[in-house]
Amino acid sequence: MGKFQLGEFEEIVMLTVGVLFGNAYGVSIKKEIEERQGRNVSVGALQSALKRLEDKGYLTSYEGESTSERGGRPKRYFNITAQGKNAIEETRKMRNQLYDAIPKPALDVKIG
Amino acid sequence: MNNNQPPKIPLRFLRWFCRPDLLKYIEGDLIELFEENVEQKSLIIARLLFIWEVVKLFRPGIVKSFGSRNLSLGSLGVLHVKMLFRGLARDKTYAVTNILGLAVGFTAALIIYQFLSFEFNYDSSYPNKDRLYRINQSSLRNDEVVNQESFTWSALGEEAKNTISGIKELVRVHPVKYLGGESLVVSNPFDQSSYYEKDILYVDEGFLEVFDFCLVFGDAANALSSPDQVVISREQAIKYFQKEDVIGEILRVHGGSVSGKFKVGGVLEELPPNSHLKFDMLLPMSFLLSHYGAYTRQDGWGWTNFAAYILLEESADHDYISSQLNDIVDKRLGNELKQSGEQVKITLQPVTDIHLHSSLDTDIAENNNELGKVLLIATIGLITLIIAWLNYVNLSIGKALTRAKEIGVKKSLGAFQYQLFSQSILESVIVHLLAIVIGLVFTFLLSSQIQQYLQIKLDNAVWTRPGFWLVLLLVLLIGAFIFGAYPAFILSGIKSKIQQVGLFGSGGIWMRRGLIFTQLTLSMVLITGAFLVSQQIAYMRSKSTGVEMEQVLVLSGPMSLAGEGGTLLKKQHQLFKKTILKNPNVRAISGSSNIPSSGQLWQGNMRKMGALSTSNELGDAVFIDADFLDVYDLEIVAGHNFSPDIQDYEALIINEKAVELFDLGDPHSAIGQSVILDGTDTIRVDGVVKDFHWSSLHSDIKPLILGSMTGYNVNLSIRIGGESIKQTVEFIEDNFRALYPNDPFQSYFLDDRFNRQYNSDEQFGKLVSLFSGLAVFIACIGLFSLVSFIANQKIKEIGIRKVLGANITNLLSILSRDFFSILFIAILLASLISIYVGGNWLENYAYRIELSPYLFLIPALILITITLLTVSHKVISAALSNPVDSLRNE
Repeated sequence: MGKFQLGEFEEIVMLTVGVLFGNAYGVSIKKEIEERQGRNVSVGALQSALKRLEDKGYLTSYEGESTSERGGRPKRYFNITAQGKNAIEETRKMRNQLYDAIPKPALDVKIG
Repeated sequence: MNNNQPPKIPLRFLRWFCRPDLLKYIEGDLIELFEENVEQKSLIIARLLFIWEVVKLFRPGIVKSFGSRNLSLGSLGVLHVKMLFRGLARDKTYAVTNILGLAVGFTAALIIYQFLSFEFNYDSSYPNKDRLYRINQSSLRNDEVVNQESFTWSALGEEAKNTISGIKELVRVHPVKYLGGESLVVSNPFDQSSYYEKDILYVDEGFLEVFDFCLVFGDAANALSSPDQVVISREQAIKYFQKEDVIGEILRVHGGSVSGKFKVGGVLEELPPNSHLKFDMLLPMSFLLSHYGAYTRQDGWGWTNFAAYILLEESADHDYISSQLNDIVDKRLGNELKQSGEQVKITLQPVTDIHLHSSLDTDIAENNNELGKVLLIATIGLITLIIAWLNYVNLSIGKALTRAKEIGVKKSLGAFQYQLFSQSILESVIVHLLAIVIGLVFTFLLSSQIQQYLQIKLDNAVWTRPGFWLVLLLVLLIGAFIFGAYPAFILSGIKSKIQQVGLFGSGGIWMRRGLIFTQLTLSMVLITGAFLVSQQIAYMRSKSTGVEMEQVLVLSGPMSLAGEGGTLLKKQHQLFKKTILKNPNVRAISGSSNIPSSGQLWQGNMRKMGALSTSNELGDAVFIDADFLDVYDLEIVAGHNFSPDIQDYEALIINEKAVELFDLGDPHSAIGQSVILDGTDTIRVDGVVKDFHWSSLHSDIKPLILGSMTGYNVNLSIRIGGESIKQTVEFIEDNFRALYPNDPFQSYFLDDRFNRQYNSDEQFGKLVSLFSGLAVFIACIGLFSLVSFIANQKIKEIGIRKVLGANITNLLSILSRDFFSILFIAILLASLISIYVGGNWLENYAYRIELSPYLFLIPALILITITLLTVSHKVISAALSNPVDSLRNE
């Protein structure tokens, strides 16, 4: 189990990379998360998460074409690896199991 | 578009810290976001956001590794530090002794530094200190200075202030003890609580402002502007009124003609601890001058009881001012002085010089002329630090020799000598740094205990001064370089493993012997010093003073009756005397103006009747009643004691020195002759007493005259006897309270108070003992290390000798010969140094011990014992070791 541990933010990054399939690079991932989650993501936080995930072998990256837009700097595109896929699934499974294990009355709380 | 560039500095910062493999993508992302922000928002916001993003990128994972990736010997920095800490961790005894020894030395130096900072900053907290001077007055006779004091005439101050230009403000200060007693009784009229107060000053109106003493309550400008005001300290406010804001409350002062009611006009903030003026109550000078009999009757040129402080204008020249002051004195008193053959010289002294640099016969400041003592203490601190440094060198040499293997490996990998040298220096810097940090921690933890134990004040504000840290840094670097250099030479000079034959022969051993020798010598000097000081104090305490002080109880005399005419006071005193003498344990009671050890005596010009006025001498006088000689058991050598019905100023009893001074021949011929006091009173000599010590044995016995005065009972001395001292004192107290209901009861035993005069010697003795202890401790660390080294080195030799039949005694002598010869030469040299320094120190005392051999033998025995304890374990275990263990290897 421990093998596939993902942090909350790491999981979001992984999923977003999946969502953006083929077009996942720094800025696009950042924007996607900001749009969907409504929270601000700093380049620093994102880049260090990407670095960690790549080190763990959940993501792979390749260098894209250089355009004039970015001061001539290339983009770095990310894809989910097979291991990464396992990690997301494992995390999701674990969460579902936990959810299912909650006894009914515990969730039967009236709000307000 | 050119303008829409991302800001350069953050970009450069990013390029500096970012991992190179990520840099171009991250930069790309940042620029893309920036360009978008420029379009959507504005240039400024885009830039700010850019900077913010860069700042947030500075996090682990993004920041590149700055560690040296180059492990060649070319960049040994990081490696050196690593090896140093590994080395220290491996040999923990070495690490602890080395760093601890140095840390102890730094602690000593830091504490001494705080002490010096306190002493050298005396009176430096006044904002006007650079323009603030005190008037000092010297009396000369035949061009020879006979008396110097920090007091002058009240009128000089007044006239100077009004006539000399360049004086911004002049304030006079009159301590209460110059009114004849030592204190006044002060009471709160509402609840009748009353106390003796001795730290009262009468001051001019501008006093608070000239010195900038601050008030917690009240306005400094008006706090003493009318003659019925008083300023008190916060503690006094709480003592009398149980609260701090006491503006407008009334205090009553009891003291004969200076009695009166005073309204509190201000409450003082705490005084700076290093101010030469100490007081907790201020009364207006105008009140004193208009009420105290002696001052009202003269025009202000009679008594020199007034300290005067001058605040100069910015542009004023202090030489000019002092010549003007001398002119005024000349104008007013020139003729009178000429007649009596006296000259007076006024000088101005900067207030900041008072504590350390003035050595007047009479000074308003209690402890002055301290420079010599302060410098001696500074030297002791420095010696301790030097011993610590020598110890460091000693241990490092020892260590260097055992690190031959490490050096050999490094050399065979191609390390250059200078690299090894710099490694060694770096180690020295790091060890010094650790030691200083530990020393600072020790100092923080210990300084309050040390202040208490040694009764000294330390300046705790040094930590806040950048100058201090700069000095500390310099000491660190200089110390680390100088004392790291020799071990560094040894270390870098060690041959590589193959050439390393006979390495242990002489490498540094002579140097180490020399270092141990110096350490032991300095330690011995300090031990001898401590012993000498303690012997001198013991001598002064045990030497007979000629006065019987044991079981003399002294009461502060009643004051509340004084204002209502002397007769009532005299009557009440007779009653009190009769009452308590009924108790068989009360042997005698006497009233006098002063008691032995009480500092300031009445001083005046005196001469034998019939002599010229130019032969006036300055003498001390005490006024006593007929019972004084009984109470103090003073021995009469000629003439007789006062008769019981003696009148005031009727007769004198003088000591043998005074017979000499007045040229009265021998004691017997002196009886019946007369002495003229202060040019006016002619008084007959009734008796001559054997010389006795009025004050501590620091000073010689001075000529003294005891004048008759029956109602002047500022101090009541009571000789008591018998077993039940406590009951007797209670009996006396009960009767005192019954007869003087308005006076507080304050009593002490005279011997306690007399011995308090030796407090500063004792404090000095404690300080020397403490530091000699530290020095010996550090020296023992070094000694232990040297002996261990020698024992290890000779272990094979001992093994072979044992096999060949040597006995233990032989082996012990072989092992300890070295150390004993060092020790004995050190003791010899230290004794010579001590004879010189100690002899000089003893010159300060009028009565001093002789420098005899036992003064050096006992410290030598102490040192020998301590060092023997240090080395014996190592030496004996080496001598007893089994030769099989030491010889088996080869």
